[in-house]
Amino acid sequence: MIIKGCIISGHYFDSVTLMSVAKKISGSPGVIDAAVVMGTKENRSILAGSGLLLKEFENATDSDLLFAIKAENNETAENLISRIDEFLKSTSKKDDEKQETSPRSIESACKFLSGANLALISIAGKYAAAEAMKALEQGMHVMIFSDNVSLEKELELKKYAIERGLMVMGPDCGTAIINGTPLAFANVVNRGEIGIVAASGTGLQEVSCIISNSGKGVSQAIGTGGRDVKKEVGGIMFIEALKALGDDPNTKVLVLVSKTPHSEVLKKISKALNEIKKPKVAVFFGVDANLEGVHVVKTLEEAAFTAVNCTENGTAEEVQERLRTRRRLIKEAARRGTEKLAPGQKYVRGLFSGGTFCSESQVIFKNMYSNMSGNIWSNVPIEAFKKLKNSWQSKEHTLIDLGEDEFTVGRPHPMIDYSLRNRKIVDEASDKETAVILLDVVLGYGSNMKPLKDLLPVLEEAKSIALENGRYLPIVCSITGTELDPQNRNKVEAGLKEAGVIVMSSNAEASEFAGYVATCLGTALGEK
Amino acid sequence: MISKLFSVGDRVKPGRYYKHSQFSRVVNYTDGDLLVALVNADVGAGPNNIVVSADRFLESSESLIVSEDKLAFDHEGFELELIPKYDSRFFCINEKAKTLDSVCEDIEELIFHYSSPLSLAFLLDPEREVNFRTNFEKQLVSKLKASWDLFLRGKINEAVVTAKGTGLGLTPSGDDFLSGILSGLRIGQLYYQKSLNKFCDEIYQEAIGTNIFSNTFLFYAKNGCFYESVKLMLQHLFVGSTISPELVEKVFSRGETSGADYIVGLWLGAARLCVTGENDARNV
Repeated sequence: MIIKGCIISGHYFDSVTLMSVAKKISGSPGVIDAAVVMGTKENRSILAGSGLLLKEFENATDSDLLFAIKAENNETAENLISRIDEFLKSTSKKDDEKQETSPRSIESACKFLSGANLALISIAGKYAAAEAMKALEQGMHVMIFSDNVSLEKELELKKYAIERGLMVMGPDCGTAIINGTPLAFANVVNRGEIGIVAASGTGLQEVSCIISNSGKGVSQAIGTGGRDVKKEVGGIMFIEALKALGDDPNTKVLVLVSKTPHSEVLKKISKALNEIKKPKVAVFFGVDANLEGVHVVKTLEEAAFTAVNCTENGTAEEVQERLRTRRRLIKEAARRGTEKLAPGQKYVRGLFSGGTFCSESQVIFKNMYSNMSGNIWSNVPIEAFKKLKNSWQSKEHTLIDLGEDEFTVGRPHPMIDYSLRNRKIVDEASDKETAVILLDVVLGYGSNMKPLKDLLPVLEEAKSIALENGRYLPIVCSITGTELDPQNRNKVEAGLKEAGVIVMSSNAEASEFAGYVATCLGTALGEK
Repeated sequence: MISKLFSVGDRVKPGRYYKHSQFSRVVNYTDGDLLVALVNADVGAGPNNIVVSADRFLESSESLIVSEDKLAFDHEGFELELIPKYDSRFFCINEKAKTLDSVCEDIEELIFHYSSPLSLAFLLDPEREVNFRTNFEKQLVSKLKASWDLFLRGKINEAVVTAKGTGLGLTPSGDDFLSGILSGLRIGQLYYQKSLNKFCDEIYQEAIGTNIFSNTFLFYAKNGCFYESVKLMLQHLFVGSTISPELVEKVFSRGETSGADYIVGLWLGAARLCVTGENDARNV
């Protein structure tokens, strides 16, 4: 690691240029931290506090422009410093050419891009409803990424939208793929003939990625936000989305994804599905739904496989056979893995960035074993499992959703910022009872753009801690993503495997592996 | 070449000025103390702005001479009496105006809706702190939060010293924030009809440094001068008339964050600091 910098005197650049260059440098590969600021005494003091103050900055004046770069190596830092002039010129030129300010309201955004028919709202929740209403009034569909929108506002927006033939995805809708364009947290997937309606963001991502990785594609993927399927909202948009995809000639197969919909909502969904004469697949966590004419499955992976199978006119039995074969292989791999464990290593520790994955793992464990519920803990337990009193302290088998509010207040989501989970990984590695660490890595837009850089050092540290204490620690990880994603799934998979991680193609597969480890260790009895 | 002058700011004083710096829409001239800016109509009028029409104003002259009746660039002269003068004073507060509390509530709403992610809007909306990710940015947040707390506790000198010169951009965020506070105090002075001159002078004296851009904004703010878009926005707010989003965007889009940083300061000055009065508000 090295810190380099330079001073530019006698030239002035506007703030837009300076902040744009700062962003460009900070986001460059190999850069750990960077700052581009005027050389005031106060800024130099902050640079000192940030570990970025260089000796040559000591005599800088208020009018000097300071560049400080902390990089992984000298070459990276030197290369960026040599390109600063180029960055400044290219950014200033762009600004000159633009000669316009960026839109900062729905109204002016519409003027900038006439004909736009969808607005993505991502602002503090207390203001999101007002902006969403402005967009609806302009005749646009709306995706509300923000959470903390009141139930009353959500209902008001959705009723208003329905009357005008518009969609409101969200609030708290993290993912959608509309006409091939990924929105918010979403992956770059093949286009195809499978339509998805999901009240679960990571659920939608997992299903769409598995479909794409299977060589098939997605027509539309519509998120609704988790609350849409609760009793109070009544599944308004979930049902509208089903109808829309039912009418869409490019959608041949429908997949429904949701965490526990309310029973009354489920009835309405069932009724809407009866009107759609296309193959339908549904995965509802926490509900043993029996919907006529619908393939109701238990995992996201199974939903994706079944949908793909439907496009090929295959049978449900073919999917089950594929899953049975795979389970035999996983079980054998888990058995071999446990032979290397030390006495005392007994429990699974799942650390999830995707909330749906945490739920799915619990459902998988519940389905795998008849009497495992006695020692499975979570901060978001499904029925029959136990709630941790202290989410920071694991107990027996523990499955944690790190995207819950208790962990995310004042910090980015764990799909973006791995730092909190990294701390938990080290904690779990230090616990002599940990037998296997179960992780998810979610790729795509919105997620961490440098997953290997942020994850590999801590995985190495975790393995070293275990090794120093005479333990072998298997780490099993699923990757949600495609090779078309900006992070490139294949590269991430190769990097993790090289670091000794057991990489699985889905969260379901990774969870089953962890479950079989527990079986082999005798801490999960009553295999079904 | 300058084909037409739209307006000259009321604080453009006679003197000889030399080119200081040039941006896409602004050319600055200085007499060694403060700046006079040649700007295009997108930027708009201001106490020290000369608004010109020509798209080619970038090829501007190296010097500017202002006399009592003329304004001259290298090769062109203009009669000042033929050019509209921009009045930068704010005087829209009368008995029919909305209350300052109500206007400040409106300003708070605008801050929430129009501020860019790395602006000081986090001082009013802590959820925005997540936008500050680098070590420098995180330290910046701590420092400006400390300044905010000091202001609210009446420790004015310490608050100014903590904020000044701090932050991102050509005019550091802290300086824009302090300019805003001075403007907010001037509004409060008009509204409550009480003198805050000494209070403003002390803040100004503590805030000025050697950054000529910051010093210029601080100077005009201290003297109760407002740039056109801010003045128009405030007039609309006090009258209670509808403000066009374009106008608000113009205020908030000065620099990357300067517009928002200034308005956050203005809110603090007008909504909080002027209320308790010149002698009670602080413990200098």
